[in-house]
Amino acid sequence: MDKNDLKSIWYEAHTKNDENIYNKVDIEKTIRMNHSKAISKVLSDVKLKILINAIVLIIFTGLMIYAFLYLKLHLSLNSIIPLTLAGLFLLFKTTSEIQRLFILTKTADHMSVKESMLIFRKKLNKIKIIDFIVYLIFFYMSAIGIAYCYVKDIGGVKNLSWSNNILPLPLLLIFILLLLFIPWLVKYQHNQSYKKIYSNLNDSVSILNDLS
Amino acid sequence: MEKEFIELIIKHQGVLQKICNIYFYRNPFKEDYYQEILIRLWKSYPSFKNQSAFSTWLYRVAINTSIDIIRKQNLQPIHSELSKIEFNIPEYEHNIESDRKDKLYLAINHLSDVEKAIIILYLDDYSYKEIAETIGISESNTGVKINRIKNQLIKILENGQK
Repeated sequence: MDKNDLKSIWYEAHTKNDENIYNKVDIEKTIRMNHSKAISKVLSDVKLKILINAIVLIIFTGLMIYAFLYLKLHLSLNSIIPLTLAGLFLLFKTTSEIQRLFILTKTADHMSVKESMLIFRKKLNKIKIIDFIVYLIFFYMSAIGIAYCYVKDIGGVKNLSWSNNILPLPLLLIFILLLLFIPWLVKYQHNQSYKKIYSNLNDSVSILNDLS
Repeated sequence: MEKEFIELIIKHQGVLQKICNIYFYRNPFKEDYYQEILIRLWKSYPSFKNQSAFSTWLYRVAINTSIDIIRKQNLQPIHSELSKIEFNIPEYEHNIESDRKDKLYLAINHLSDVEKAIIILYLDDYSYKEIAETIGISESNTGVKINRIKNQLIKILENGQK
């Protein structure tokens, strides 16, 4: 086959007046929409997840405030830990869904293909880094806070022992290690979630860089 | 502005169809993605300042949108959440191998998103300069890349697979 045959096949393919699915699309009606049906479905699914997570998070936070500030409830560290974990989980779920929506809605269509890809990759990287830093600060501060409260509760570092009435030290260490590990887990989860996008983006950007 | 835009789209509808066929070949949501491209073109239309031909701008936005839709699919897969009728996968004839058009589309489908963008512009007789500007690469490398893609396509077409 000759290289010029490609063009002849292309012309042949597009000069025939085939019956096509596009003719039935009403342009006037379409451009009044925010998104097409399939894309709207994707976005509304993400928005619904954000809403559900946010409502549960607000109810949870409200209940905690009511219990601790209004009812002045005193709970042991053993009870606070699972509650804190549940709250953090809800917060994590909500923010990750918001980020997903952010990525899904940002575009740079009018630029060159390369610029558009680089902008998208930059945004994706920025979200990933900010997300990691926020989680890193939040969980590490929580770990420091819990360790500080624990030491205070037992009356100082000198009273540290493997068995303790408030909370056994090994259990506390496991919990703190868990907190320190969460940001890295989030980073890993992000890498997994965006693996395919990154792989496609990096391949495309590498092709484009070779040609620049 | 709307009337002017619709007229331009009708005039260049063939371009959009080609881009959809290239990027969403045999995709059950092809019509829907075509609509999404139209919407994004309309939203970007104020950014069109007549610095380039309308068709060049249209190619740029439509290609970027198509690549973006593919990214969205990867980020948030679109499953069969739509009704069964909407999720209607068209049936293709078994003698597809004899159809030169389908064979070409199948071959192009093996290319990367960027390569698809380059070849569609080449096949539509755009100059190396215009292709380079639309894609964001150097003009000198455009010819080299086009030759590589053509060889790749011919190889696929001759062998029936990559």
